[in-house]
Amino acid sequence: MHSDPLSNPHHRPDAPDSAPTPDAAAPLLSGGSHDRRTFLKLLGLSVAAGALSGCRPPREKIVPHLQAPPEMTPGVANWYATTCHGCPAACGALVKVLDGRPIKLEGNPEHVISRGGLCAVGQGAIAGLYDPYRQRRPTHKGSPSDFAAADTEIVRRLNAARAGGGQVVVMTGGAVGPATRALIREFLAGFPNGRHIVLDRPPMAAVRDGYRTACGLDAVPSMRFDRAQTIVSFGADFLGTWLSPVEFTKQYAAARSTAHPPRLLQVEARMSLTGANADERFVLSPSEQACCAAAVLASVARKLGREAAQMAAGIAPQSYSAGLAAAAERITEALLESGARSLVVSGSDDPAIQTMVAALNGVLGSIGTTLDPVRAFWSGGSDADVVRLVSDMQAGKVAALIVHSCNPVHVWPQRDEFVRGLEKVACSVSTATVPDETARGVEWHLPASHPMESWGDAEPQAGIFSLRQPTIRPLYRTRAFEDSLLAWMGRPPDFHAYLQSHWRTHVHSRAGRGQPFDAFWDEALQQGCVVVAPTGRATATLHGSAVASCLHAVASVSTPADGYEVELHETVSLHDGEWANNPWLQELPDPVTKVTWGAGAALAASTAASLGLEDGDWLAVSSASGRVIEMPVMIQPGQHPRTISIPLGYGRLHGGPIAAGVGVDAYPLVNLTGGRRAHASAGASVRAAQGRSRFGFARTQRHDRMEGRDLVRDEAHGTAGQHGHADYDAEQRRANLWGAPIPSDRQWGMVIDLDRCVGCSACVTACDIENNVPAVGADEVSRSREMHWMRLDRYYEGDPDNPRVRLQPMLCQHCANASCESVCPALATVHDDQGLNVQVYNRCVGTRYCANNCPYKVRRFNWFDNQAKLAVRRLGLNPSVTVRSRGVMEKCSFCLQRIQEARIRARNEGREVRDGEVRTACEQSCPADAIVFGDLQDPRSRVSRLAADSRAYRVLEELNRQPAVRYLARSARPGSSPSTDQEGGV
Amino acid sequence: MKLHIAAVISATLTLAGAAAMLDPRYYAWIGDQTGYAPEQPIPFSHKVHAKDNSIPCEYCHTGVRKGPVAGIPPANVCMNCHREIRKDAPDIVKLKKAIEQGQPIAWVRVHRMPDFVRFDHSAHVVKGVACQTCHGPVQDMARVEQTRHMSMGWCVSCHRQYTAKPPKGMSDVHARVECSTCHY
Repeated sequence: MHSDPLSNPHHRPDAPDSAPTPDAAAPLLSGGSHDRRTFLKLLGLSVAAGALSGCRPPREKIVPHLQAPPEMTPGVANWYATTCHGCPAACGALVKVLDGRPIKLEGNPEHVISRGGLCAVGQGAIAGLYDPYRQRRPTHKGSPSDFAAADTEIVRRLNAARAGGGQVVVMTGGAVGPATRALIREFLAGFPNGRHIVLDRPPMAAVRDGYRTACGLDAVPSMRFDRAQTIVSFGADFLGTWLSPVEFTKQYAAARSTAHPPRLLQVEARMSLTGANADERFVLSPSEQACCAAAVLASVARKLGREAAQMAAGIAPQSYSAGLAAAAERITEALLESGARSLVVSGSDDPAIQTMVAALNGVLGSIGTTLDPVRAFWSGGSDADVVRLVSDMQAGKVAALIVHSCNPVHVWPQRDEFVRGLEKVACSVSTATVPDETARGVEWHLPASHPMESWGDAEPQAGIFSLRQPTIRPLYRTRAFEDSLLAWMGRPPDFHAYLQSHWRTHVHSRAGRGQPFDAFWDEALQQGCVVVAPTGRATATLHGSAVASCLHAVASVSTPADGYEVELHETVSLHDGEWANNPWLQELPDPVTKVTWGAGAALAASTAASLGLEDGDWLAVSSASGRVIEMPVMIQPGQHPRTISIPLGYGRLHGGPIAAGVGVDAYPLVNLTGGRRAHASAGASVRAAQGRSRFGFARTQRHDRMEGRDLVRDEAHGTAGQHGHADYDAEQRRANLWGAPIPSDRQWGMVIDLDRCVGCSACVTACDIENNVPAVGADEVSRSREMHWMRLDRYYEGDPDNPRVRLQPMLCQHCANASCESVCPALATVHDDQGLNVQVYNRCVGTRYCANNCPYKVRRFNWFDNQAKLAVRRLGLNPSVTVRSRGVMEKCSFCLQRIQEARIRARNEGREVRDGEVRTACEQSCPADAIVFGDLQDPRSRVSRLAADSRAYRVLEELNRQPAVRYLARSARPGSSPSTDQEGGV
Repeated sequence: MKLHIAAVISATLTLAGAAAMLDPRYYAWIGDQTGYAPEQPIPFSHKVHAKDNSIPCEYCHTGVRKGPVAGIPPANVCMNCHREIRKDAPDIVKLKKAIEQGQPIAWVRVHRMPDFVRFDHSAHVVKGVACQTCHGPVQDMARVEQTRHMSMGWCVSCHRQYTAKPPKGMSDVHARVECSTCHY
């Protein structure tokens, strides 16, 4: 064993034979300067030899079509209108198809629901098309099979079911469109005992029951948040995950820019995204929310007098806690003030709360003003049906079960019973696109083609129709669910034809306006949205006695439940866990907690302290029904002290390789109460879990305070009077390493309106997908190496038990006096003639000095080769944007590829670039229309007008970076400055 | 004074190196594909089609005004004529078989920019830059050969020259040399 010269400080290189004879097998590793020099010479020679020999560009093939589709030009994208498949809200979307592959989803500006916006899930959903976890061929009991063999056998079993009278059940999620539902009805009509059961998310049955009980309305009215003066939400995260968040965000944000913005009062136990945006927030546990709703209804009814007051007759005033009483009083006051322009919503599963909410809306006269009972949400989900199904399965009464677009084995509370019941079903089929939990429990897994490979339609609200069209040929051996049904009915498996005939009968007849069907169909396909007046008239009549009995029932609970309450909720990034195998959505920081790749149980600081737990310590939560899970704790400011809020969708058993091992499965805590799912329950107990080491959450933001810097300016709280136009001339004269800026035709800039931004983070995922930003995984995120070019900074202010939350999108500010440009030794980051800070990837050598110098910390470094290696994943890359390799710095480019495309197109057409022609990915996707991009040098552009607004300011203005991004401060009375009136959409 | 041999050698090399900086043929020789004329799966001759039969470039390379990619024509364009013309020639039969068997023809790419360069054909062609300016006398080629070295310096020199003094037929040339023109 020789002594290593590097480790032995006393080794003198020229000392003779102080080391033993060099090992003959490893001459280069022995000590001694003579051999080291030889090594270096050899090294230099081999590098030169390598450089000289392999110096040839890679050889490529160009493979054109044999028969080119006439509409396709290589390198030029086509856009098709379709419907987003992210959730049942069915926002209209546009798909960008480039070289035969869909690579980006955007909101469809022509669609009345999304109006051009698309949420983070909608943006990230495209990765599901290229997900390597997709099921590529049919299987039978886990072994490869094919459709022909499966069809033969399934038809045989269905015939047996028909003859034997056993139940034939088609179980779907809530996102199936009217044509599919009609086909299911036709299919089931061929059996004496056929049923279509819907397992929806979120469960809407309670809301519908509430309106039926309280107002005689058998529907969930659609909502108009922009028509409300007061919005009261009992735990409904309508800006984040509830029902139709893009639509609601668009309405809410638009209303915030008017002269009379709505006042949002949020009553919730956890800090939801909507609660973070609330004007007033009341921290109440789920059971306290019920009492609060009852108290509010009682006092509102009494004050309104006449028949309404009779509902509250005989209810003794309860002695609630001070917080509850104050909340009820304030909410009553606000609702009475706005009268018919109130809007009360709740996300609860409890039909009692929903009855009271519906009654409030009825009594105030909101139904017809802020609620549209005729333009109702489709709400065919029924948990009672699923309960009956499970018991029928276990009793052996179900002969055939076909499961499509839902995952009951994952989300249904009676998981084990469902699986056991499946074994007794003679013919069980799943059409899941991936081998999920349900697909592994059935006999045949016949994967449906991905929604982006399929035809379909949607009618999320009565009379609002849209089509879904395939944008790529099926990648694998899959078959649309509807085609499977048609095949089993003995009909040609052509759902396109069925869809057309359905639309001819049901939609064209109502919307045709005399157009021949083919023209109507083409227009519907192109526009993406067909709106007809909804059929039927729904009148809301208050059912006083029904409401009264409900009120009495709730109000008679003199105190809300003691002990702990558990609240289970969906997340903005994964919803109910459907998107757990999507790396971009896993890496999307939760807007409030800023945690990626998993989540914890949210606990109030005081609760954690009383249990002796710190952030990351493990907690064992037992529900009243006895189920226990262990989860790491997240200390959450604004969390109710006796409520533990737990996100759903993590810890999936068969969610895919990306989902494996990420987070803890909280579904065991979902109860079945009164025949329906209950996501909140009382009577829970908690204790510190033993034997677990502290969990390190992969957070992208660990600090919560602005530390006295006015990062998010707020006119209402202390930073008034610091606005006004900065002295730009004086700024120019200040010392600048680069001298005067290059005069140019245009100066790209951006304005972000903090009155409108709700923090939904759609911009983050939109940017990721557009710019080939890779996901790096939990480990790297823990090292602050996430790659998102756009981030939402979230700050807490004020009382830690109910803080004000401030959210701010932060991206490269494209500073005119940039800190990064002065320090790059390779001149890889330079300022160009259109006001952009340009990152030239091929010059970058990775010193990272630029990131060090950036005061906004928006530069992201590729520490590793993070890009996907699998060919199918790479199909989803955007070819217009360079794919960065290891060792290269990257950051927001203001979507330079879109700028260049627009400039070239304009130049080719002999005109100037129009204002609004270039839309950055973040701007285009934002459901709140908070981001405006354009030419600051054009005095007529929207961005110039907004930049001149009195609310406009720049972050860290005192550093004189001269950023091109301005923010509009949050108004004391939003909408008080007239120039903030923006149009939504294009 | 005595000149050390090492000093003489290093001075010569330095001067040679400096001289090499004057021409991209010397400093941009790595990756220089000038003269690259690979064999193609079907020996398509531009001389026969573009020169002898006067077929314009854009008849086949249809994308050249619409977007970044000029495009190699799909087989159905060839068959517009070759359904009848010389339909028994072995190469045409090869083409026809490819269509029948559904085997697209894998042409060997001749002109290729590195991944970090974004070139847009339409910006150049619509402005009036002739195909031959960059691709050389393609109409004389029996087999396509890259005749220009297509280094960045070569691109930039044209951009500068044409902006300063637009050639005949072009006006109002603003060919940028900002990094963001091609690298994003």
